[in-house]
Amino acid sequence: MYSTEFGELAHKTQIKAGWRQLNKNDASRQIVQSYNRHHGIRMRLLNLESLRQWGADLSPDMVEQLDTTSTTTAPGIRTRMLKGRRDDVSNMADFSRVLGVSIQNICRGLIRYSQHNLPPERRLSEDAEILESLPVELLTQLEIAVLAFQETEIYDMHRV
Amino acid sequence: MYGALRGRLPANLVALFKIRDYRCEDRVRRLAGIQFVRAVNSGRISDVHSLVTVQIKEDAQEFTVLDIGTILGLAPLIPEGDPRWIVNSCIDLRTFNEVY
Repeated sequence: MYSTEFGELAHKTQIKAGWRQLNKNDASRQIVQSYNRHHGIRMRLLNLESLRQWGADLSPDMVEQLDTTSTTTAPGIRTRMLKGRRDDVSNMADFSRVLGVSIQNICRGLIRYSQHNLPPERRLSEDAEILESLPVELLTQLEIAVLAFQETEIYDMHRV
Repeated sequence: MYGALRGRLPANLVALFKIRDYRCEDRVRRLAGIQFVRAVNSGRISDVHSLVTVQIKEDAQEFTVLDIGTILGLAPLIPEGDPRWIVNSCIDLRTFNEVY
């Protein structure tokens, strides 16, 4: 099977980003030179980072440079945010009433989540009485930043 | 896993909530209550529309709790009969919202 996905994604950074940054004077040559320069620096940083992980003896100024220069792009925005707290829910009884789900079912779900996802020292109590006494907040919206289609730095906000 | 869905599975979101565990350093857990669906035909794409169909699990536990970090985003689903949906993976969500 043949996929154009890689080429489609690559031309954003290899061509379109260069076109936006440069002054369009002999654009083709500028784009190629600019991309080669960025690519070369990035490869150098990745090699140095790899050497450092293998315990190579790098000079202090090089280590400092590596610490301040990231070779991966991280989203500049918080990727998940809960919004819209409901004022009529403060404990498990309210939570159960508003959702129309029995407290026993909620507790079972919480215990299963705790057993499968949390380390033993951080697990929720399996005592139903303690679980029912925990403060609960019900929220109405979750915002998730999702990379836009065929983009590497632009995010769509999904409101769940 | 889940065939063409490649490890991702839509779910019905029941609730978003925070729970404060005062027994464990007053730690706040940001959680979601969901109802699972299952991928029809193990997630194989249909010969008719070339998309995957999902349906509500008959034996789904009523309230499954997950960390909100496991939610990847909105899924573009088209209803197909009562408990079944087609996962429209051929469209980006912005266009999907304009169409539906």
